[in-house]
Amino acid sequence: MAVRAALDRREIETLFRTYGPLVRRRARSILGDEAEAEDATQEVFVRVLASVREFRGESQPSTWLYRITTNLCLNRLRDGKRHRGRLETVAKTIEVDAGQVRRPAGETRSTLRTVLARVAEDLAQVAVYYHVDEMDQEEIAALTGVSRRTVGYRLERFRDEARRILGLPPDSGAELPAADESVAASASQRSQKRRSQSRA
Amino acid sequence: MTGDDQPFAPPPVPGGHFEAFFATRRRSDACISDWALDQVATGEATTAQAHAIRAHLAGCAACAQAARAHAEAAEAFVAGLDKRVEAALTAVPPVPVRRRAAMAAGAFAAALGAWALLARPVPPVTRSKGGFSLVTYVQAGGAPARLYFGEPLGPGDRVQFRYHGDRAGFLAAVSRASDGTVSVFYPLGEHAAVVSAGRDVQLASAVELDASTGREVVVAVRCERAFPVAALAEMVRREPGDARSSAPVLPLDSLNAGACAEFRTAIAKASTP
Repeated sequence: MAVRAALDRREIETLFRTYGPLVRRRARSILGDEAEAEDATQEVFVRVLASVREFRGESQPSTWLYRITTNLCLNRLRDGKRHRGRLETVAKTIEVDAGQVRRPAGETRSTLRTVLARVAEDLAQVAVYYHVDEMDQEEIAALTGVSRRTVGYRLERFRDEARRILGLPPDSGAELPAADESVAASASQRSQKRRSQSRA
Repeated sequence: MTGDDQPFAPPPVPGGHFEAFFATRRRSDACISDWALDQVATGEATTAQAHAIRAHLAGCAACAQAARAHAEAAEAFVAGLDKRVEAALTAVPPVPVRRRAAMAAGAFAAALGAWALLARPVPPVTRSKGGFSLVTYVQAGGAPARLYFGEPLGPGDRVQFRYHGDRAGFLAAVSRASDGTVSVFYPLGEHAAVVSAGRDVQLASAVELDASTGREVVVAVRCERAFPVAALAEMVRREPGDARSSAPVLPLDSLNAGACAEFRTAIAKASTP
């Protein structure tokens, strides 16, 4: 039996009108390609319509749609074979450039997508919300349902993984924006410890 | 080895090359996120949150530009809405309306139903014929802030329009609520008032919103000559339906005011939580 949406046509139009723009915009930002973004947008709404009964009302629909869009787009990034070839080019470019020139936003986003395709899902999610949606850690915590401290840790782990994937040194000396003082203190201690270990 | 002799010491760039490379955040920490803008656009922000965000947008060029980009993208998306809806309906057919009452409404359907009510944001522009537009500003205790998304306004908010047009003329604006009630937004007098050509031309008067809630369509008309505001109000009152963009064009010739142009927008009014 075909799946039917638990919404009538008027509600479906309202759904598209209200949430379609943000889904489309985010898909474009995460995927970096118009056609893929359009395809992903349709897929998000098909999924929403097919599973609308699962929405329990514990969060707002925008929260639900943010999560679905993020997960779907990250899966598409992971499935994209083109990112494997791009990774080598990106790593070599970093060696030559050595960060002396600030990279254009589009190119930086391209690198971010390459990394997002390779890191664990929980790290990629917070990275999207932080770097793409420009949310602060408190907003990310509210959206994902984890603590702000956990968001801070995941951002730090994401950057560690990104360094590894891009072939960068283990610690560039840059400090992450800390969730609170205790996280900043422990991050600083970990950086100090790594520096000590590398000197040894 | 000292720190300077380390083979992997970061280059002498503030923040390190890695931080620069991953500096994709374009706005400062004090700025608002895309998520916050979406909360306003979808009507999920509280009135207080929406007020705070509007106040920030009034003073931050970067965030105002982001809000404009969001609003333009939303208009472009809505322009292609029918195709998208049809494609989705092909994949997942909707329930027939007559059967809907027999099914559990579900939390999402209930939420959409609530938001489909008049408190939901409406697109800022519904129709423009004739080369002018009105931009909506609202003042809620501070400096006037531009509305980007048609987000709900509350009682006591002062609404003022700014005119964008390539020619001068005589301007009047009325609004029609969902119950058919027509109110005059501009001007205060009995006849349409002179407006100069230009951008962001501030109109002389503002309207303080009352406690009624719902969606109101604002119909503005600019003509070569002055015309009675009451005539425009009567014309709008007699329009069939709810004066949305699909309504027929007003019979502006009957104003006998020379060449006329029309612009429509909408405001959503919600009670303060």
